Amino acid sequence: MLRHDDETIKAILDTAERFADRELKDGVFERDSYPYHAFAAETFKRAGEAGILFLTAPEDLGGVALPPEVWALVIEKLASAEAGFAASLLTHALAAEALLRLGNDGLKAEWIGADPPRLLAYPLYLDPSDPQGLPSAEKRGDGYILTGTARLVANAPVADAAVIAADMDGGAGVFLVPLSEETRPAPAEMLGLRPCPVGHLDLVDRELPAGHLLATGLDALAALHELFYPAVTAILIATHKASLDYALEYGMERYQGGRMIQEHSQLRAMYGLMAVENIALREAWLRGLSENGTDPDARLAVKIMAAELAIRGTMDGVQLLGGYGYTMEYPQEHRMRDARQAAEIMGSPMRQKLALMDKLLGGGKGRA
Amino acid sequence: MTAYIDPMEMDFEDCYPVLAAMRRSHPFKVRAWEDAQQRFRSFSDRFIRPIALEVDRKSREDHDYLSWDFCRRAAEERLFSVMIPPMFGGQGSDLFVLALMFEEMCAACTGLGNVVGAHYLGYSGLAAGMNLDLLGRISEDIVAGEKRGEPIIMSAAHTEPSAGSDVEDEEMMPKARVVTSAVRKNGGWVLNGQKVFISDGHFATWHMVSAYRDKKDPLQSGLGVIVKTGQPGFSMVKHELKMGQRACPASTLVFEDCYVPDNMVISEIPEFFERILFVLGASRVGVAAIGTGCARGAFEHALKLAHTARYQGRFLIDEQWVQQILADMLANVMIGRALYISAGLCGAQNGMMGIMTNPALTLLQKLIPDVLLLSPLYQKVLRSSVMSKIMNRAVSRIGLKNRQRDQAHSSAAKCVATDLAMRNANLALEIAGAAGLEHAAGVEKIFRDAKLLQIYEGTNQMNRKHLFDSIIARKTTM
Repeated sequence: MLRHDDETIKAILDTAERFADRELKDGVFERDSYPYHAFAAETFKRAGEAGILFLTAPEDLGGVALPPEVWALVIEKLASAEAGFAASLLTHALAAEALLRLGNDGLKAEWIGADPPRLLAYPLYLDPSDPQGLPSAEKRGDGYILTGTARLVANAPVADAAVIAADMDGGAGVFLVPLSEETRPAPAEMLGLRPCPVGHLDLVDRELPAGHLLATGLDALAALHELFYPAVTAILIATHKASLDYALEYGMERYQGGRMIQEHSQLRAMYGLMAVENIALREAWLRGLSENGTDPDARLAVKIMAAELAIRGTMDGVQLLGGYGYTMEYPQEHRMRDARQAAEIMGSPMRQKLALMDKLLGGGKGRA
Repeated sequence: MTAYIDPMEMDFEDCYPVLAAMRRSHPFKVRAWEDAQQRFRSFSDRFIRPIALEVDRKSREDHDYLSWDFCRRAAEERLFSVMIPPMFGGQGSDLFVLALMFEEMCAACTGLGNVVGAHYLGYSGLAAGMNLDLLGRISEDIVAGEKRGEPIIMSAAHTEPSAGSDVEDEEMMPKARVVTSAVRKNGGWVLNGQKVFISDGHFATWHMVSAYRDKKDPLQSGLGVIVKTGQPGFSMVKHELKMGQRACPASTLVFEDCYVPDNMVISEIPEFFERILFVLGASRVGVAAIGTGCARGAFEHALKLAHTARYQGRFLIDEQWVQQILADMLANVMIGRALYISAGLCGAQNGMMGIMTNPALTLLQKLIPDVLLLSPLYQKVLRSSVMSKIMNRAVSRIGLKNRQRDQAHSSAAKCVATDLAMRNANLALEIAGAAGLEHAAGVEKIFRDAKLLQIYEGTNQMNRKHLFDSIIARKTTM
């Protein structure tokens, strides 16, 4: 629950806006070329210097002790400039939050309070209601042995440690796995959000001390996701808005049939639809962050709706530029890819709709 | 226990009941279409599906990479002479054979399929001028290239930096900001200007180029010429970094005092733009087939995934919601097919394709032995200016109402089939979930590829305008 008039939050948002303007406006094409271009490690370093890596951590761990919802507002500022970096920061924030809520003091000190800050990985696309492709964990002696592949772990190709889920006897578990040059996975080539690297983490009899088991069951991750749905929605809304703004700018500079593009009423109707959807979405999103809007189901519903509208809206954003919209020299095509990729964060919209209905109906019985 | 069908087991009768229904009245045609489906499906299985993802990946890693191996393979399989009339050594197939080829290839990879598709856009532009001598020379070069295993490809260079959809619409054309000029000089024309987003530009040997004698009056001053790669004054400065269809380069062509002799002029008639509209009337049927292929590729990927991926422990294929989506996707493919077949039939009746595939001409070509068709005397008569005039007159006699009908149906087929391709690509990702976002899964590529279909050959908004103008408004002036 956020107080928007909070001075600390205002200061953080100013910082995020300045950071986006200074660090993310240029070099988008290069960062989008990952893995054929280097990961933006320096940008992360500067995010640490700007103090936006550990917003919810207590002050003794170098944080600002803000509520997790603040991530949604910060992520929106960053995603307006570049959704990929925003997704990478969101990944880090999720892993950090998991550690803060579930980890012991030793782990928190080692991974949250470290100087220089350490980058964390997280299974960003995991849906705790339908976990797929988990490695297995087995209790052995005082610790655990992990074997198998943790699929689609965001930031894993570049991070220092990863929070992952694994199958265990009688359920699942959440673990922290330290990463090194030797154990980081190769990057997978993805549709969008390319500045947020994704890899499949192969684990071969990987030994972990008992303290690295953060939680048994995936309820803790489900609860974490409920807190962070607005941050995912922020990426979708900001990408949608950036696509609309750019299309409008283009439509006022280019001519078709002797008239400015934005003067053609059929195209105005497309702009209008995008604008209406973005305004309505933003209102619903802000309500989810307000004192009266903390219902997790409503937050999930807004995420699902934002995903569907951002997918369609960013496609129209490309269409409004014609052939230029399809080339990588213009920023519209990556927004379309980014929105489609972001729609799958924490679960695909269709599966999330079914999960929501299961929850509202009190279980999945009777499903055909 | 349910036995689910492999999409590749869907035969001609499953896919094209409308065409199959013509078996009794047109047994040889239907047989030719059936053979075409098998031929191009086999080609796609052997030479497209195995390389599609790797070509896409390589072209992202190295922007200069061009899939020449594929072009050579397509030439060896004679895919560039399918539409060329037998009298010029080609296979003389009709529009449906071509459409079946596009659908089969684009179901495997829209980008590689479009390498062949864009060639026929260029060839259609050349044919539209009815300059049979020039058509004969270029056709022979393409056929001879195939015999050597060397791809001789054509491109259609029509789009300009500030005039995309403008130069495809008769209402907007007068105000189009064209830059490619043609000035009369020494028994030919000198070209200056630029063309952009030219599919196959970097692959092509021959380019069908539209230029303007008066840039302020592009509607009435169009000129169609053929330019050869490597000739003085002509260069290709780059090809675009595109989101998808990366196997097919979209090139920027530059003309700097590029001299084109008269014997390379396709047409200088004042109503050249009308010919472009005829070409688009035919080529949009092709794009509808490409879109249908793309939609089918998405369906096939989704179906395959549904057999292996699970939701809440059950295979996706056993989930009712997935079955609904798959049914929707297949219905979209059926709609695309129905529309491109309908538009193709309409084009044969009302458009320029009707003249090019005139039944009497086709029969004549079939009855006359190849030795005679290719004999010097027959070729001399065929390529004479008299024959060109006769053919040109036949095209000129196509009435406005026929052209509008042709244009309306092809535009409807194009925008609906390509919108459905985009829809299927998105639905395939919905079924695949996050796993589908990875390049290796093949689904995200279809999502990227599909988007271009809604843009090229006139944006879908422009095609809706054509549909309105042609049928609903029945505009009566150029």
